[in-house]
Amino acid sequence: MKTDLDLKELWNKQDVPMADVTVILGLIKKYKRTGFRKMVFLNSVLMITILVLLLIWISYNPQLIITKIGIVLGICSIFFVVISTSKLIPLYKKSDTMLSNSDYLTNLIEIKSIENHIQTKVMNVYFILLTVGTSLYMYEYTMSLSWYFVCMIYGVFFIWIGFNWFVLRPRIVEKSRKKIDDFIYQIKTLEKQWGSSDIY
Amino acid sequence: MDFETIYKTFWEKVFRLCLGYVNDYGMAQDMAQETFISVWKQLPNFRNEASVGTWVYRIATNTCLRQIEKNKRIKIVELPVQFKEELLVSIEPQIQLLYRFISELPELDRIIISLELEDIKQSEIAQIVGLSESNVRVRIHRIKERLTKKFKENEN
Repeated sequence: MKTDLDLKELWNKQDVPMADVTVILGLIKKYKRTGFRKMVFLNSVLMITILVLLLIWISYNPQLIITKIGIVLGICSIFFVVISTSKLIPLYKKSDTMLSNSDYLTNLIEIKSIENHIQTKVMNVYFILLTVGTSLYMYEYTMSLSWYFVCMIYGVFFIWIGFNWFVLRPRIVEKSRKKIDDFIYQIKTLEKQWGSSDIY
Repeated sequence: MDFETIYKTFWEKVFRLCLGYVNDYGMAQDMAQETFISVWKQLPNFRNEASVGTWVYRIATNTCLRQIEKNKRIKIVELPVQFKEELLVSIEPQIQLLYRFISELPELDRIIISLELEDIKQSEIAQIVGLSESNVRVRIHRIKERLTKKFKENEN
């Protein structure tokens, strides 16, 4: 029969790969590099989009107020996503080092619920703002064109928007929501182990 | 304590903890490495409110729990083939059994028993997992009974 001492002895006899500082420092370096690249890429895309919108405003000097409203709505849609996403930063920050296992699981559920909210409601608002903004913006520049071209430009634009809204968006949202819901369900099941006093 | 000292002090312990959780050598190595990347990231914010050990184990156990999300992720480092072969012959069946039995327990129990076998005080285990000390004590007793029973059943 195995005694407590035997279990500890067996546990400690397990072969363990050597602690190789160069390997872990290499991984840290890689982590820093990819994290930095990702951050630079995301911020660059964001800044370039805003700069392009502002440059259009300055260079083309729109005369109509709706064109300006269109540009402002475009910029607002980007900031809306950034602000909504930033709610996650403090939750991510405290995620694994300060919390006990049970608090960690609760925190994970909170993070996933916000991610779910971002994937559905926030992205819907972003999409609506961007569509309305672009439609308003295009109006001034298509005004001088013939009806044929106006119909063609707006037609292509709305077909593209419709495809995104009715085909791509529901698929992406559904896939992501299912993944997040499954994950939340798994965490909640796991969390029940903390509540039960009888383990078997 | 600087990062390299923490890494050298806790690498083996963290690796065993992860191995007890998943019973997969390659995955355990990835999880242990992931733990130390988190340690490195958070070290500037560590204010000695808990002991370094409790802090490191807390990160390690939370990394283990997060595996439900990352099961499909690609492994960070593959073990060299030669090392894998060596392992298969050098590990005693009893050790393999212990790690297998532990990995078959519910997740929370895997964590508790692994910490207990690493000689962590029960009060610290309670802090790490977020249960009362008395609850941890009862659970450790039951888990050990369960493991002993499994060993017995295996002998017959």
